[in-house]
Amino acid sequence: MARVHPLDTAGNDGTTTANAVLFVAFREPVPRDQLEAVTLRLQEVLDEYAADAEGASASANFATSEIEIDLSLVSDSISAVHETIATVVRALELHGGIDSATLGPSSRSATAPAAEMTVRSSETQLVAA
Amino acid sequence: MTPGACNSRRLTHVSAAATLRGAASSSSASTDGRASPPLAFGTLRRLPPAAGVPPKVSTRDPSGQLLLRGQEQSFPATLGKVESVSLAAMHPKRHANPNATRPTLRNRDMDALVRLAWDAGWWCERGGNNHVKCYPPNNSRMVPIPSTPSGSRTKANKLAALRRGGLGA
Repeated sequence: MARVHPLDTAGNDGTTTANAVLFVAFREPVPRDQLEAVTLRLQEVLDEYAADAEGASASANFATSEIEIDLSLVSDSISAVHETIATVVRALELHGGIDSATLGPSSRSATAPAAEMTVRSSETQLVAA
Repeated sequence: MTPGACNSRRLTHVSAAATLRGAASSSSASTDGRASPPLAFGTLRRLPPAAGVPPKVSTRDPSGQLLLRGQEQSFPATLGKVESVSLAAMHPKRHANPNATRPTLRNRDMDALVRLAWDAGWWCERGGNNHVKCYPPNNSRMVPIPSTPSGSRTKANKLAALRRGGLGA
C-alpha cells in the first residue's frame, strides 16, 4: 500500500518523522456493525492511553474486515519511532482487548470484545530524518 | 384606432411572449419556417455558444481539485455544474437523500475534514461519542471524525485515512 504524506516542516530540526499504519484484524469474520463499534472503542483507547502517539486515528475497512490505525510519529531516532509504535500496541493489548502475542485465543477473553483481535501487520514509512 | 395600429400592437405583444418563452424557439420558427414545440413558461434553454466567444477556462478539474497555473482546462460551454456533479461518484445514501446536509462540527479543522469528504460524495452521519462517521461512495470504509481533535496530528492522521478511502484519488 503506497502512502505518501510529506510533512513540510519535518526533519528540519534533527527529528525523525514517520507515518505508520497498524492493521488490527479479527480472527473470525464479524458483522459490519460490530466492526464499527470496535473501531470507535479503539479510538477511545488511543485517545486515552496512547499519549505518545497523539492524534492516532482508527478507521474501519469493511472490505478486509480490519481496523487501520494511522500514526504520525515525530521522534529523535527511528528506534524511538518503533518504541512508540510498541507503546501503542501495548496500550491496545491492555485496554482494547487485543492479543498480539499469540495467534490463539486471548487470555483476556473476559474483558475483550466478543471476537478476538490481533495486530495482523504494520507499515512504517520514513518521511524525513 | 386604426386596424394597422392594432396589428402592430399585437405583433409586439407576440414577440415579447416569444422572448420570454425562449429566444431559440422564436428564432428557429422565424428563420426556417418550421414551428418548434412551444416551451412552457419559465423553461430555460441553454443557447448555443456564439461564434468568437472563447471557451470557458476552469481552474478546477471535474473532480473539484484545484489546478496549478498552466494546467487549466477548457470545458465546453454546455458542461454546467449540474452535469459535473452527476458524473461524480456518490454514496447511495446521497442519491437516496438528495436534500440531506452534512453534519457540522465546531472545531474548524475537523469540520473541514467532514466538508472535504461530503464534497467528494461521501456520506457523513453523526455517530456515538461525539464522532461523525464518514463513508466513501463504495461504502467500503468508515472513518470516524471526532468533534474535537485529540492531538496536534489528528488532522493529518484522519486525512491519511480519508485518502486511503479514495478521497482525492
